[in-house]
Amino acid sequence: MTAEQNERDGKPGHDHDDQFVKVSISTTAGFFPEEGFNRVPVNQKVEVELKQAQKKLGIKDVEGWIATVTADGGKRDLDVTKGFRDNKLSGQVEIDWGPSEGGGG
Amino acid sequence: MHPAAAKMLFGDEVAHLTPALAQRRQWILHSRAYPLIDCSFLAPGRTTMRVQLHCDDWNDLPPSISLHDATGALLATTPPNPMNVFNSSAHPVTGRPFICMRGSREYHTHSSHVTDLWEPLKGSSKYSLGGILTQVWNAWLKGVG
Repeated sequence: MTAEQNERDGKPGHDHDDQFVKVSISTTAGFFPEEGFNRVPVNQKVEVELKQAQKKLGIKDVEGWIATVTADGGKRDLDVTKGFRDNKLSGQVEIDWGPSEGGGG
Repeated sequence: MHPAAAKMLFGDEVAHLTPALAQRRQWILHSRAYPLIDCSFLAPGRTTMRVQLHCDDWNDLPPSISLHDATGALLATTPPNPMNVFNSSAHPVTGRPFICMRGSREYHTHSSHVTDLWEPLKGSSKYSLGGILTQVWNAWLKGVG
């Protein structure tokens, strides 16, 4: 099994753990991964993992979607063009991903 | 839409509204049995809001969305919210406060929006049942009370 496969499976490799986060993405089309967490480099852009989730879950379009995490009792939007570390994320990360609030009239 | 086809499409879409998702989003899913999605939104320091999506004729028609308190009683007014999604005025058809947002039947049947058609929206991820429910939830989270 390659190091990359180990990372995808969430299995520890020889790298320092603080260089990785464990990521689970929830959507109304399912979870990515289906169970547990993926082990992802902290400097990888969030959008990379989201794109994999979109492909795996068969989500047709994600225009207007936001990725958020729950922190301090509230939700915080992520800048998906930046890495997990730049979004001040570490350890086990549960991302909720879906369309933002619609416009009212 | 043939009722059997509407029910099948509904079933496919709500299959992913699982207890695991509800736990992560602090939702209580009271029902997801055709044609109703009945879901409470919870958050620290907030009064629980319950929404019911009535999905008859899905997806030829968008869901009709009614607003309730935690017990299921219809709301007479909406909680304070900076988003215009929650409209406290009486809807011309239902006579009740309503969700004024694309993807809500009350929006598309309101005299101010009848030219904004549902047809081009349906079928997109943003306007799936889960997408619409998520949009309403995200709007609610922006509010207080």
